[in-house]
Amino acid sequence: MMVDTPTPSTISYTFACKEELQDELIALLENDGVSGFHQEDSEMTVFCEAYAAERVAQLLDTSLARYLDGIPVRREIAQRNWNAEWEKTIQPIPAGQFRIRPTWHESPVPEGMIDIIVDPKMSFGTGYHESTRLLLYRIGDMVEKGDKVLDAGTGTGVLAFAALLAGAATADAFDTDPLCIKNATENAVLNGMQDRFQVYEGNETVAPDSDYDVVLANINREALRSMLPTLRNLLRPDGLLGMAGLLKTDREVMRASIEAASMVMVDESDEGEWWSVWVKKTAK
Amino acid sequence: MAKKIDGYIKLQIRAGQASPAPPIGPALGQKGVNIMEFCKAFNAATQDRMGLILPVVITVFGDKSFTFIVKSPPAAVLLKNAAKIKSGAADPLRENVGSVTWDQCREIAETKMQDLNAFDIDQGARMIAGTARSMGLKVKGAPKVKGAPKVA
Repeated sequence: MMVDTPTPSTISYTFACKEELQDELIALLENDGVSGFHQEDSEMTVFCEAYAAERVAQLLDTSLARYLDGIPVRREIAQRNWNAEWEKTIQPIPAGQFRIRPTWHESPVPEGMIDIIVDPKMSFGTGYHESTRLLLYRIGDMVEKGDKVLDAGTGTGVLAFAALLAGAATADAFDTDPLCIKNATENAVLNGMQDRFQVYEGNETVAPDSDYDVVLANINREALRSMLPTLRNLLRPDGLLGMAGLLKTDREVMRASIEAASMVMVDESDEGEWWSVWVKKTAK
Repeated sequence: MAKKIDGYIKLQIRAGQASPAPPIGPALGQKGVNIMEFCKAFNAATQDRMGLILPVVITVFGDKSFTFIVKSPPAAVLLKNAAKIKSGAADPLRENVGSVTWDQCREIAETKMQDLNAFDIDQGARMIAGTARSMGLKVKGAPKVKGAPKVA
């Protein structure tokens, strides 16, 4: 049985503050360790990491006290699945040859489709987002039997599972978020893929091999641009990289980065405002 | 037919760094919104301003779908960055913690013009300068206002 890893709590301070003064107070409070603010009319809440809580409390009590109407109320917020309410609404969703469903929906698989089971909790990759679907539509064409696949920023692990179902022999994955490591590991077990799927905590430097046939990466433009040279090095010659999490407006910037990394575009598609591209590693 | 609005959520969070942790998780989670979908869309929309605190207003509909509008950074955040200070003055009437120039106030007014209730850039810059002074920042090079009472 998997043991829950303790995660650091968030501390919040809630207080009354005139609306016209809130922006000023936010500017003076925001600093390292302050994750954000929630404003509800003349009440606002500042959220901070545990290590920054003492400093924030001191500021509210001294130099910034003139902005407050009353005494701040301190709360410790334990980590939990904030997505639980939304999860209750999830229905099985088709994406190309796959159907993604949570464990609690056990309806029969439509003919010609393959089920992927994903209980997402707070990880990305449910099939509900265009960027996930855009890669899922093409995975069957891009992954060949026996391929070795890497899923960069795996989230729920859904892309890696799709690649395994499309014929890949093994799939490695990585993510910087410990919640995703736990979630992807649990989902691999739900799909019976724990022997062929391995997930690592960290960025692109933790990938254990450097001769992948296919790399999948659904992140965002700036992350992908900075990772591109490393992801290229993780591919075998002529290996394929499928990228998503990109907006249609990112196309030209990405095209320049792809060319600069000595890769060529082989396929692209879009849905809504989102864009996805497959590129091939060429000789430098 | 327009969708029924369930409510609005007003947050100020860091551009390109949205995650399901608080404040986003609790605020959106209790409304039944798909938090990860919001994070993906917000981070993609704001990645050019990575790390800057930005106001965002999220409209949640009855069917749990949502839209959001990202506003320009608060003038006070821009002033703080322009003056390169970490915190404001304890007593802004007696203490100066740094300074900004009138030109910087004008630049910020241009950025914030849509949000300011001002007729022109100069009037906007005067409003920005007022915010600067209340934070304990000295405003250098501000034009003198005609008819202002003389200070003894």
